[in-house]
Amino acid sequence: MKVVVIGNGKIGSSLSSALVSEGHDVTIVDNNEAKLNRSKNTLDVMCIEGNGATSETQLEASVDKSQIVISVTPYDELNILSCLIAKRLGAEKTILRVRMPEYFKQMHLIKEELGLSMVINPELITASEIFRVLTLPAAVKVEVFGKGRLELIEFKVTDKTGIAPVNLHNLYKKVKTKFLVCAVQRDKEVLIPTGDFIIRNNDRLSIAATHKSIEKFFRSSGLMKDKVKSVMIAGGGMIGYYLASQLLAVGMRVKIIEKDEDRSLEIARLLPKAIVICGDGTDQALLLEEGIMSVDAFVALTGIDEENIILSLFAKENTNAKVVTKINRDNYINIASQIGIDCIVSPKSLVVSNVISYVRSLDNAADSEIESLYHLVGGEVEAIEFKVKENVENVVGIPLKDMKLKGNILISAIIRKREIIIPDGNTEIELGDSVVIVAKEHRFSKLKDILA
Amino acid sequence: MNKSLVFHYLSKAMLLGSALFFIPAIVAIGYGEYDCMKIFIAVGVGVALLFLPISLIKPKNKKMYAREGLAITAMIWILFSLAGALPFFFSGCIKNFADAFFETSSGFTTTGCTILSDVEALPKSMLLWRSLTNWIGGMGVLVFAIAILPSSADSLYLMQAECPGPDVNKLVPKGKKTAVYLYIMYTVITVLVFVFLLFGKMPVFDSVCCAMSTAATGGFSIKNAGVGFYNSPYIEGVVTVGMFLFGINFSLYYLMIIRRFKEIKRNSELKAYIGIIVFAVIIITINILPQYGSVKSAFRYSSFQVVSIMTSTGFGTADFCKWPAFSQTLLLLLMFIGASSGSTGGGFKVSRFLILLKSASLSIRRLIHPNSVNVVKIDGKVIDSDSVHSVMRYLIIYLALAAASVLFISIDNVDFGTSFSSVLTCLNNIGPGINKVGPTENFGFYSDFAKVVLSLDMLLGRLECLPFLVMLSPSVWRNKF
Repeated sequence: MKVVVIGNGKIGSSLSSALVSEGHDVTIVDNNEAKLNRSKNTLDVMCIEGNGATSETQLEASVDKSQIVISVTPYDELNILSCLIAKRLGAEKTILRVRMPEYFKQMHLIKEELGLSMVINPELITASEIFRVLTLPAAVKVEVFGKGRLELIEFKVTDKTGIAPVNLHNLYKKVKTKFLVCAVQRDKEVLIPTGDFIIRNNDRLSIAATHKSIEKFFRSSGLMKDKVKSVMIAGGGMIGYYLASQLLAVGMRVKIIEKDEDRSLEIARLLPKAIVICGDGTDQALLLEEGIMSVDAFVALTGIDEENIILSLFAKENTNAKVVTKINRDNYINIASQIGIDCIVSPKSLVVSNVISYVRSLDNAADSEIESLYHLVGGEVEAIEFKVKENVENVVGIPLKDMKLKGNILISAIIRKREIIIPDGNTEIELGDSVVIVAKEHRFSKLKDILA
Repeated sequence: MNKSLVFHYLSKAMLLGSALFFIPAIVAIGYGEYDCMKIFIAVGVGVALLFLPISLIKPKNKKMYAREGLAITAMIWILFSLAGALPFFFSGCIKNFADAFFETSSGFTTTGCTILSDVEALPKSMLLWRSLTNWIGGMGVLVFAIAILPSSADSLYLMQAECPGPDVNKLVPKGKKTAVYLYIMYTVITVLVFVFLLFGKMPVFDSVCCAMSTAATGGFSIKNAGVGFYNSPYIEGVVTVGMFLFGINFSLYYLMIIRRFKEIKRNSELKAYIGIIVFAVIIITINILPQYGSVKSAFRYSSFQVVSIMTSTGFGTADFCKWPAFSQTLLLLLMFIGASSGSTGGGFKVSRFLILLKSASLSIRRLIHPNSVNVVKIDGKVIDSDSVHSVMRYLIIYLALAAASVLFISIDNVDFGTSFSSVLTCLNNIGPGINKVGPTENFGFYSDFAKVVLSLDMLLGRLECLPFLVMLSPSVWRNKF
């Protein structure tokens, strides 16, 4: 597909690189030549310099002949204008970023009118991701499928857990609840396990199950932690605001530390229930004074990755709180997880997963619809939820054990109406099911492709 | 440098290149030149067998960086020239290997100067091979490889290293697609030239060779007297228009196909290119008028020669060494300017020349208005000072190389006009020079050393110096740092 990405910032460039690796023809538009040169020299894309909101520049980038235009400049107004122009010029789908809460709230009023296909709010997505992890503190990552009925969670097996070493068959037998281990990260390797796989300490598991089963499993294996009731957030930016409002809505106590005085006042006005502290979140004395020792969870959301990493290390070292760290730069994520920061959220990769799942679902030839897509364990593994729309030959109505799948694929769950099925060899996929597939080294846009 | 990756890619491109030998082999069968056929097949199979095992070794790290791209580009051109020289050498058509190497590099770099005093004595298949080296080299051997080999994201660095001009102009976002489109346009216009030549009653074989050399702005002719042999104003006209078209940036043709005429109109390089040609043709026509008597024939020879030199083709219809010194000097200057960037032509490139000219005029304005704020603009777009500086750096490297080469050549004790124009013509991939290397002469008299120097000049000029100079830096060869 022909895709034009307007705005070559952090999100724009990682979107472009993901789209290129998906095989699309990508054109990047930005008015900063230095930024463009970087992409021009490292990605197989075309770069156009100019103001992306002008029709002249857009025509130069062949917006009129492109299927998708994605506008991710730092300015919401500019993004809206760019998409409007692109739509008028003949772009089929337009995706834009809107991050201001005030604007985002009213997007539904104009979304259809302006022909916008998708509005992404990275800050809101990130906040929701953190919120999910905080509701299940034993996990480091929680993704939802089937509108929340199925969860895919990532957690680390430690010697405290007391389940390892164990053969997967025996684990399934021992724990009498239904779940499936979809992917295992061991050191730097990612594996899709089979039944006789042996789990060891320090493995990071991704398991699929319903929320209830997961809680049950955690309880039986001693992983369950107490519910989070109080959260300290360092950094009162957009993510901090969205997160705090979600947490307050479920009755948690929230303390936000924000350096900027005006911003602190603003948050205090917007979130009257939260305690807002105006001070330097990186100042450890301040954190201690504000009671970091007794919070259930600590979330590092300052604008600087390095600060977040240091803060998280400090919190991990001194408290028992669940620590969540926001990291933007991909290369920091690996380093941070090596030094023991396990619960990391990256707004960039969340947006990329979101957009990629949308773009892949546009594949016209697809026999199935992509409902959701997540990148697990550092992007190496994908979990995709397909809605089976038509009768896919050799997939529908065939027991899983007779299906000839490609390597490194696992059918991890089937969502049938209100029921969640954790499949075994005799399960069959039916028309109308949603199928969750975990795959390594593959990029699927349709269900048929999973066959060898 | 990731050597295993470089060797892997090189061997893959060489495997592809070995297939080219079978084209003249087929032609050899058609003309009953069975000895030549055997040689072409033997060379083709030999090259394939040599590189097949290397291509099977898969590199561990597949990531290509700029240095690997530059190294691959420089080495592939040397390898192609060496392998391409083998048929000439083994068939005994060219007895000295340095001569054969000179001839093939001259072919692949689209220079078109020859060491052969009697071209017509060569078998037909060898003549076709010469013209084919021109044609493949015109758009670039790596662009050819990128177009055919399975898509890889790393083709980027290769395109950058091989495509002429200060900046790579991608037609479409994907490098592979760009390469494919370039070759399609290249082939279509070549076929057009071929058809028009046929209309001029040129024999089919001659038309094929002539069309390929014209397309590449190469200048290999299969007749001793060059295009002048046919003595037909029509054929000369077709070749002139052909050379002119191939000297234009190919992205403009693409813009034409997708009907974006506004951008073509705005293109200042095209305007300058046409302007320089028109200006030079008029001046030279007036200058040589007394020699030819009529405006018609003066225009015929001057237009052909100006376009031939400016686009770096180097076809000849008249011996311009017999023209007045003014015309000769003007032609030498045109050699230096060269064709448009992104075309098949060589030389310094009109766009670089424009950038230099504009920044020079700005610096004069700055002397008058010391506090004025000025920017260099081309096609309505600001050229940042970094690009301007890189053009200047290129100019310095280019002049330094030219000076060094002239010095090396002068060991052969030839007159300055000859040695200077030899270097200029090779470095700019043109073909003929003046005096002893004029359009009716050849490079056969030079010593082997001078021939190797000139061959390297051609390769340096074709790849715009940098890939080769990078190879000289020891840090490229080290595995670490």
